[in-house]
Amino acid sequence: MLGYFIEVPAKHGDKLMAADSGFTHRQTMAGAVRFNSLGLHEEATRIAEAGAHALAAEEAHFEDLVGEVVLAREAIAATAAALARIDVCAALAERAVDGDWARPEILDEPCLEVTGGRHPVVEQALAKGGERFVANDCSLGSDDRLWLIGGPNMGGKSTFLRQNALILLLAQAGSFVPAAAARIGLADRLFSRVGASDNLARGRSTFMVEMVETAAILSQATTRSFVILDEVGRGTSTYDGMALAWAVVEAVHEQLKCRCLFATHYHELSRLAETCDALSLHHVRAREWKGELVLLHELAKGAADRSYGLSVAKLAGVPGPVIRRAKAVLEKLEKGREATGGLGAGLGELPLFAVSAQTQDEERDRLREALESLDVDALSPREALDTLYALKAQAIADEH
Amino acid sequence: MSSKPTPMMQQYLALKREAGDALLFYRMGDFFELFFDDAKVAAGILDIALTTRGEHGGEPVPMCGVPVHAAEGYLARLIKGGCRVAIAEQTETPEEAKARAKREGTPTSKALVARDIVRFVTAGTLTEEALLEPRRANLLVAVAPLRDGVGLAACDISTGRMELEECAPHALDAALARLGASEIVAPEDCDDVPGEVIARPRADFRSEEGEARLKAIHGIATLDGLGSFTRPMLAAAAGLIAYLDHAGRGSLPFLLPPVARGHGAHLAMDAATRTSLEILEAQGGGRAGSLIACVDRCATGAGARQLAEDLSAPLADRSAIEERIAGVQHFHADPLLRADLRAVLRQAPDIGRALGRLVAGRGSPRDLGQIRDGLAEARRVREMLAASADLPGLLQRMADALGGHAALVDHLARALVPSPPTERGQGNFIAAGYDHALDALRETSGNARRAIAAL
Repeated sequence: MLGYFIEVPAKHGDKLMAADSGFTHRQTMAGAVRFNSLGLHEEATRIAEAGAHALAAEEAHFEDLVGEVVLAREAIAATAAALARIDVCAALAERAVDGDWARPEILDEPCLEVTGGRHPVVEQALAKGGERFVANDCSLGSDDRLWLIGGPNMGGKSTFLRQNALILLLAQAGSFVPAAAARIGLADRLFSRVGASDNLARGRSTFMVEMVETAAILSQATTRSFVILDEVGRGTSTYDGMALAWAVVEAVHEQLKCRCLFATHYHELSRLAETCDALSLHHVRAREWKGELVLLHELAKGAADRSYGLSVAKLAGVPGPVIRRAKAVLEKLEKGREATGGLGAGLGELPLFAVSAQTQDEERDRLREALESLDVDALSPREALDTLYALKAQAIADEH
Repeated sequence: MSSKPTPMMQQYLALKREAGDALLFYRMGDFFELFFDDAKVAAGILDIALTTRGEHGGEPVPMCGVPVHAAEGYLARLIKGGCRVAIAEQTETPEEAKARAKREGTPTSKALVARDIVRFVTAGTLTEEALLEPRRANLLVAVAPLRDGVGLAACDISTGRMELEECAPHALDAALARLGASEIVAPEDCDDVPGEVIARPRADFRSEEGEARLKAIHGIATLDGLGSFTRPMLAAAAGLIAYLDHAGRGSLPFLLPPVARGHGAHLAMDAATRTSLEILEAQGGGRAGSLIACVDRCATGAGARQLAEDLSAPLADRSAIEERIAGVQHFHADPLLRADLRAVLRQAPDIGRALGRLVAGRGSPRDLGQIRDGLAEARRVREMLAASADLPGLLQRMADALGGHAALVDHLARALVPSPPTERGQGNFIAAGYDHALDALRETSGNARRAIAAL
């Protein structure tokens, strides 16, 4: 039985059963009888209705309050955005204090001068294992805008490349940067080609992906861009790879004229320093100590003295017999190199990329002149077509 | 064996046609039921029992269901699993259905409750707290390739932010990589857009329509005051709004006036660069090991979302960058202010998203409470900044934007109980003393025992 009722012991029930008692009988149970009365019934109805009315009243208030908030929505959204911006400023300050980051100086000229730069993610990961990150400097400017970085794999080339890109990115996002000091020239574009690309999963070969991504840089970078490139050409044969790396470095240096850090394991590229005046050579340092390779993660000026491929392989756990065999093969190859002048033989005599491009330009000049002197508005369609034929004939003649 | 579908099955199939690719949540009493392939897909993702119910065309009909009160959690998993869901609600009560059957002269015992799709729940159109990640923006992006350029319209309907931009076709990949959208819509016959795309009718992407809708939504006669928008931008805006119409079945979510993203205002980075630098996501996937995971010390979800945007689109304008750095410097130099301020911010609820829900008509009393508390905290932040000497320009402007809500905060404070519930149907969120008539009603219903004893 739902609702309110009056329950009396059965022995008193009879009195209330009387027709004029003002009570109506509802239910008889063992030992008790339940009654209702008019007053009780009215009160129960009032209670139920009050509950429903209260809910309706709250609902109406809710709608009103929402209406008021909706009316102020743009001001509230502006407040929310301002709180978020203030939070970001305070959080970046907190991060800077925690990591001993520095306030970067932002400049208009294309430079990138970082003293004691660190890779924030790697530094944090190392710190967890109690290790210290080795900070490195970077100093790119208009007369030294391309750094060619050699040295053993695992020696910290990729980390160095990435940390400088991240420092530029953080600075332009309005943050302090993980360095002792930094002077950052504004960049319009940032290109990074470091580490394996996840495009592999989509079925394109490493080399194809690498070339597509390199092509994008060559077509889009400007003098204000910053480019980091790691091991261009590693996905193909030694000769192809080195030739491409060589040509890409030349194009970056001669045509794009942008700031660039270029990591490579091709020794031979160091000869580019002879012809490219805004290019300088650097390497990550390693030392062999009691036959073991020690990676110092330190950047130094100059070309890498030699390749440490076999030592790195040993460090990585390639079995001793394989290493010994590789050593024997290497000795043989190096002897051959001495005899022929090596992989890079003759590269020094190669005319520069830009020079060869220029000769082509000169050959085309007659055509260019003819085109420039044309008054297109004055030509009838017929004349235009004739002129086009004449130009084509000239182009063919120049070709031969 | 009868092959004629039951009336309920007919209704189901009609709604399913309307739902298209989306899974259909078909409301039956206290459950949302899924049938046929929908049931198989959902049972697989949700790891719930797949049963059958009746027959259709001589075959048993696969079915699974989720309780309505727990639907949000299941929705979250389906959306994460890459699904879109159409919610078909009962639009009348069984009593109303019987009354209707009586009027129409059909047997009342078999009266079928009318149902309609009330909303499409998709990754890009979420507002629910339970379905959103607090530290990540949730963007819906519409792409409109026109002859001369590609328009992009991006909005986060959880906060109402909307941004329009135009790019060259070859730069589309980079723009989409920057935005990192949860959902992308594009005209049906366009295959220039990479990745998974929701195809919508080309007629939805008309620039005149975009202009007209934006004017109507913001009640303005011309868009000139908001910025300069190109045809492709407006076409994308049209596609975006049409999709929101479709998803919300005609009820639009909260949209702030659009902002035009200018060319060259940001440091351009293509998709390969973003992947390589692991800005918001490490190469193995996930936030751990990424730049943002290492940098983010924000006290609020909204701050973390802003930081993610800052890192995805660094600036290319020197004075704007220096302004931000000066803001960081101010807090860097004042550890006490920084600590106090961050303590206050940690208490502040996510008012941007609460506002998004309230304006979209999906708000709760709790959201009102969040607005009240968030605006009150904003006032405290403002006071702290006002007391700080030599406030740099950016922080000064932000401080100014924090104020002006005194009357609203005061009203909400008087009207609401300290922690209002998420359910609005159960009442008990209006504070005592706010409305005397309500107090009297509550007195009557709440003090039943005393009232009866008083008889």
